[in-house]
Order: sequence, then structure tokens, then C-alpha cells
Amino acid sequence: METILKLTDLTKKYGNKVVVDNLNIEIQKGEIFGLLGPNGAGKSTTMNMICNIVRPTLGSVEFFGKDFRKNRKELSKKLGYIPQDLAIHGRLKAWENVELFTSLYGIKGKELKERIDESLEYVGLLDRKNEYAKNFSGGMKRRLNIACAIGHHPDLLIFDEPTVGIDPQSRNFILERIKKSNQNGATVIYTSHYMEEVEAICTRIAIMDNGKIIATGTSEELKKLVVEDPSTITLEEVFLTLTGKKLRDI
Amino acid sequence: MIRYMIKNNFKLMGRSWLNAFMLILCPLIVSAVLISAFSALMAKYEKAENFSCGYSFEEGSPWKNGEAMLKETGLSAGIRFLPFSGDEPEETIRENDLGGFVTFGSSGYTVYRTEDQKVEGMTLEYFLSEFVDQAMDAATGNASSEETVKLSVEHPEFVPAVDSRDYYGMVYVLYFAWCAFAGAAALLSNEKKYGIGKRFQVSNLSDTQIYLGKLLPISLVVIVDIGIAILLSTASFGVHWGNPLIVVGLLLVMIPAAVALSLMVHSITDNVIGTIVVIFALVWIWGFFGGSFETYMFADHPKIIKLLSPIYHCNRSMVELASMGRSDYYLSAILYCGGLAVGCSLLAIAIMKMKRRGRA
Repeated sequence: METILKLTDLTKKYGNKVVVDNLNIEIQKGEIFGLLGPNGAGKSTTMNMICNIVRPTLGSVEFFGKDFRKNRKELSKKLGYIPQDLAIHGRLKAWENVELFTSLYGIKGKELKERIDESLEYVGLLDRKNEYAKNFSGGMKRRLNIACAIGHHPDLLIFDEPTVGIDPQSRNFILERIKKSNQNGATVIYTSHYMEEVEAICTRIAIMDNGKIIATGTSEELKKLVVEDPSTITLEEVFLTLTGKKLRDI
Repeated sequence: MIRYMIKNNFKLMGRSWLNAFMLILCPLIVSAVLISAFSALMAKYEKAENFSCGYSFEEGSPWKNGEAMLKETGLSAGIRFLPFSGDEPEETIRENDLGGFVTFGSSGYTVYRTEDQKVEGMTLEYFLSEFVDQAMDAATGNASSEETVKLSVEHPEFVPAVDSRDYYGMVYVLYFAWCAFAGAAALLSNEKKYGIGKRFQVSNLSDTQIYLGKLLPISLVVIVDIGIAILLSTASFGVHWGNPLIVVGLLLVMIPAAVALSLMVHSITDNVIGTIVVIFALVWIWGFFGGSFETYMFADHPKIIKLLSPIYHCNRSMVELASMGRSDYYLSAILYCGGLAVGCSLLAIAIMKMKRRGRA
């Protein structure tokens, strides 16, 4: 198995507060890796460090065996980041949004036009390509958000809660597309608060709390950490058992 | 690689009605109001060609011999010299509605002028300076063969002939160009609100490319909008902009400077509202000392403070170029704005890099 992403002793401190504490994760090619955690667990900071938006206080992010920060120009082309926010411009048409964000990876001209149509087709928005994004429904905006991150054919896709606030049909469509991307060869990191989603698509899951990974494994393996018979418990119950029921107001 | 970023940011800016309002309509509306309000005042400043002046000679003054020539030359330059006792020049000016007063002593002369008739006073000073120079030349044998001294003081260099239409028509288009950030506010606000900046950071664009991807389209949109405002001000108010190439040359440096300054402040504050407050305050102060609210020709601000304002250099060069065809301030305006554009850009990029490290 080829290691796509390797986090070694990854730590982030803001002042004296340790947000991510000595994280060590290896993600293999072809995996759909689920990262779960309550609010404030450090998931987003970890994602941001992987994407080089935030620099680690300690530790390293290796991508395809190379230090990401030192080889950013080369490696960022292999990364597709779908942020939790709808990072699209409402005053741009659907195709213009995809053009803007796909072109950031050096794709231009005829190839860019093909990639725009391909990305929009992939998320089911090709027939709406000439409409302004501000007129789209929540689900359509989420799909456009994804289209903007896949036009450069990344090897690693990072989804940060991509199904927040959308209807079941749109959610189902997005999950199907994530599985299809994975079948086409992309490795996926996926965060969500919807346990059933994670359970449905992820091949391996890590539960994070207080900046640390507290459990890793398949859904079955995680359930067996809590009970002997995994069929008697849901992933959400495992999650609550491991992270506690105390409210996390951050 | 940033071609598409520039193109799409240009579209985003162009599709915002706020830009057209702020950069086309606002300068035209404010210009129209001020042109109308100050037309009489500025017309008064202009009519300095024919006015009366008082004069007196002290006992034994050698200038007494040139009295006839002074009066004759004065008349040819539009200044009627009237003899007075010279006891109280200020009161004499006031009582006789004179443009100024001069007392000739044994070795020199003293000019009296009032704030109310500043142009006349300055014209009188200029006239006397020229008159005395030529009189001295005559005394030392350097004068021309002509018997009488002829002077032209129609438009002394320090008082460009400009009316309120040209002055406020130009100054307010320039002033609003310095407020360019207002047009970019929606773009930058959206980038922050929706985390679009993260997409740029994840891509393999450098901080310099990300910066240029904003500076260039914003500047371009402002240049287009201001260009439209200039055309409309010419068509609707008849503002004389002088040489179009020179105007374009100044705008091509001034507008990127204004945008670079705004982006630099934004990179520090990381807050659109904060940036608007800082930029508007700064531009207001620069405008105050630069002649945007009170014509720079007649403002009493210390020269050094005026020179610190880039708006002063831009206003003065533009007004003088349009009215006199030349300006000593054109080069300084270009250099000041160019320096500001480069300096602010370097600082903004450095701050972006530092912030990435800081976040990181």
C-alpha cells in the first residue's frame, strides 16, 4: 500500500493552548478516511495544517513522501480541498466559479473549458452552468463547492463537512460522488458530524478529542472497543462513549 | 496563471452597483454641487487683471523718479496706481477698496495686501518684483532698447487661472478615486465571509500572485469607472482636463497606489469595515490638506503638510496641467504615487507572508 499522507508528531499551539497534540496518522492510497470529533476537538485545525493554510507548531505533513510545505508548488496540484464554508462567489456564474478555482492550478485554454464542463457534469450542474451561484439552492451550492475543487484532478480530496444543511437527496448525491471519486482512484479524507454518513462511506475512521486521536479503526473495530457485539451499538453511541456527553461550547 | 483570477475578479467588481455609484455617480454629484456653490467665489479670484493699488513715497526715496513709469507700466498690466499719504496703508486699502498698497522707502519697498483680495495682492507683488528687476537692469545698462518698461501679469504662475468647474470637476474625480477601496469591499468581504481565501492558500499560488490577482482587477475597474466619470464630467459640465495622455498617465499610477494602500491596510486589519474607516480617514486628511475641500491655491496650511499629501500633488498637477499646460508637480505626483504603490504592495505581501507563518 502506498502512503499518500503522513502526519508525524503534528502539533499546533495558540499561545499556551494546545489545539492539536502530537498527531500521528498515515493514510493509504484508496482509503476513505473519516475524521470525527466534537466541536473544538482540533479537526479543522488538522485539516488546515494538512492543506498548508495553517503551519504546524511542531511536526510535519508528508504528502506522497515529500514535505508539503517545502514542495507546495508541486504537491498542491495533487490536493483538492472542499471547505465547510460555501467558498464560491454568488455574483459569478457556475462555470465562472469553476474556471476561477480550477485555473489556480495552472490549467488554461481548451483544457480548462473541458475541465469546467467535466466538473459541472460530475456534480449534476452542467445544465445550470450559466446561472449565477447566488440563485442556487443550498444543495446546488454544496455541489458547486465540490466542482470547484475537483477540476484539476487531485489525488487526495479533503471534504470538511460537505453535507451540512442540505436535503437528503443532495446529501445522497454528494456521498455517491465521493464514493465514485474514490473508485476512480482518489483518496479521501472526510469529516462530518453525521455518523451514519461516515459509517456508510469511510473505510477507516479516527475519533479525535482535545487535539488527540483517541481511537482509530474501521467502524466494526471502533464498536468493539465499547461492546463485544458490534451489531448492538451505533457509531454515534461509540462516539459519545469515547468523547463523553458533556456539551462542547467553544 | 492569475489571468483567470484577474478576469473573474474584474467581473465581480464590475457586477457590483456600488462601484458605479461610488466611482462614477458620487464624484459627478459632489462636483456638480461644489461647482455651482463656488463658481462666484472662484470667479472673484480670477478677476485680478484690472484693479487699483495705493502707493506712497517716503522722504528722499529714489523710487520717486520712476513714478510716471510705474503708473504707465501698471496701467498696461491692468493695475491703476493711486497716490496716497502712506500713513496707514491697511486702512487706506479698506476705505478705498484697493487691491494692495506699496510704500517705497529709501532702499526698498513694502507691499501691503489683504486676505480678502489675495490674488490682487499677489499680482501686485509679482508686478513690483518684475518692475524693479527691469528698472535695475535699465539702471545698470542691461535693459532693452525700448524706452518704456512693459510687463505682462495677466496670469502670474502662482495663481493659475482656473474656474470652479475645472477645479472641482477634477479634484472630486481624483478624490473619489482615492476611495477606491469602497468598490473592492464587497469582493474582499465575500472572500473572508465564505472562506474563499482558503482556496487560494491551498492552491499553488504564491502570496505575490494572490496579491496581484486582487490589485490588478480592482485597479482596472477603478480606472474604467473613473474614466467614465471623466468623460461624463466633460460632457455634462464642460470640465477641461487638458492633455488626455497626461491625465491617463497620472491615473495609471495614482489608482494602483490608492488600491495598493487599501490592500495593505486590509492585510493588516483583515477587516473590511476597519479598512474602510482607516482609508476614509486618511484620504479625508490628505484631501483636507491637498485642496479637495478648500482650493489649494488659497489654503493657509503649511506647505510641508500640503506636500506630505499625495492628493495635493495629484490635484495640483492635474489643475495646473489643465489650466497652464504645465506643472512642476506632475513628476512629484507620479513619483509619490509610484512609490506608494510599490511600497504598499511590498508591505502587503510581506504581511501576507508573515500572517501565513503566524497562522502557521
